[in-house]
Amino acid sequence: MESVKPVSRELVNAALADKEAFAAIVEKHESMVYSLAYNFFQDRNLSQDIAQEAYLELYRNLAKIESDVHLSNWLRQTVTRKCIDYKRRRKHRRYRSLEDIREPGFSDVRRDPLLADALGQRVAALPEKMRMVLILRFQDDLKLSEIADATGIPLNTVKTILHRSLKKLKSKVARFETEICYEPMGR
Amino acid sequence: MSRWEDNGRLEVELTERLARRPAPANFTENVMETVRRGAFVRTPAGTEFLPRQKINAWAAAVLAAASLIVGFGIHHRLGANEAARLAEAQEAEARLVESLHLAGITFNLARDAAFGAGGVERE
Repeated sequence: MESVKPVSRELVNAALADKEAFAAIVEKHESMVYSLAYNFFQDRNLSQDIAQEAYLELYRNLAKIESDVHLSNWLRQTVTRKCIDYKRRRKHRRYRSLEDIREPGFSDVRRDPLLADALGQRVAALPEKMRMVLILRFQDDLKLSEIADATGIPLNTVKTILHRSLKKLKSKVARFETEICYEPMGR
Repeated sequence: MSRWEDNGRLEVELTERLARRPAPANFTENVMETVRRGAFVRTPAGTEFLPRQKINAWAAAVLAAASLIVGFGIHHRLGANEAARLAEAQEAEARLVESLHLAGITFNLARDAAFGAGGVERE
């Protein structure tokens, strides 16, 4: 994918003047936007829907965007909100993981696929806020204050949520590892 | 103490597990198509992106049905007073929206198309 030079508010201005220039904004942020939803739902179709909705909302609110940095934060915040809202609205629904179907061109360099899948399942089982805080922390390497901004959760609460989710995951994964170690050979 | 608890291995695994992924190849194209056509609706099956022409056709059909039902209601009760006619029209509106909703057409689309403008979902 060709990278688009982030220049102050030029991308936004161009898109306001010409609808087709909006494509540059989509391309620049699509991986971040799509991956936030994908890592949250583990469902490619739903992630595409959520990402598209976020872009449409951006298109409608383009005039309010002040800079490229604002644009990126705005998109992150909007996808985060949409993921959590959607999950809450559809709490009764279960999502089937499409993890086994690889993206074309996606190089899978995981060291331990079994463990990675087990970890993925355990992340997916976390409550919405815990999951989203983890994703923002480990996908986009955000600082805690940035996570607080994106999610609208107070900073101290973000710290607590992150600490608790890691603790929870550590105990679950450690248990998984023990189970694997004691699994009889040849099964 | 498990190795998960002492050496940060979980954090490393999480960073890999939750890494960014490339968006599907046609993603930008899909978004731009939607932006060009300027509309999308929700159906019971999920978010559906519809061509403008199709939306217009739906809106026209729903609007025609609404006019017929509401008009019939008002005509039928021509002799009654203003309050009664208004109540009749509101009841017809509610029935229409409910029947369309049951028929699988989203509430917002039905409401907007029949009584607002365009049938385009608003945030």
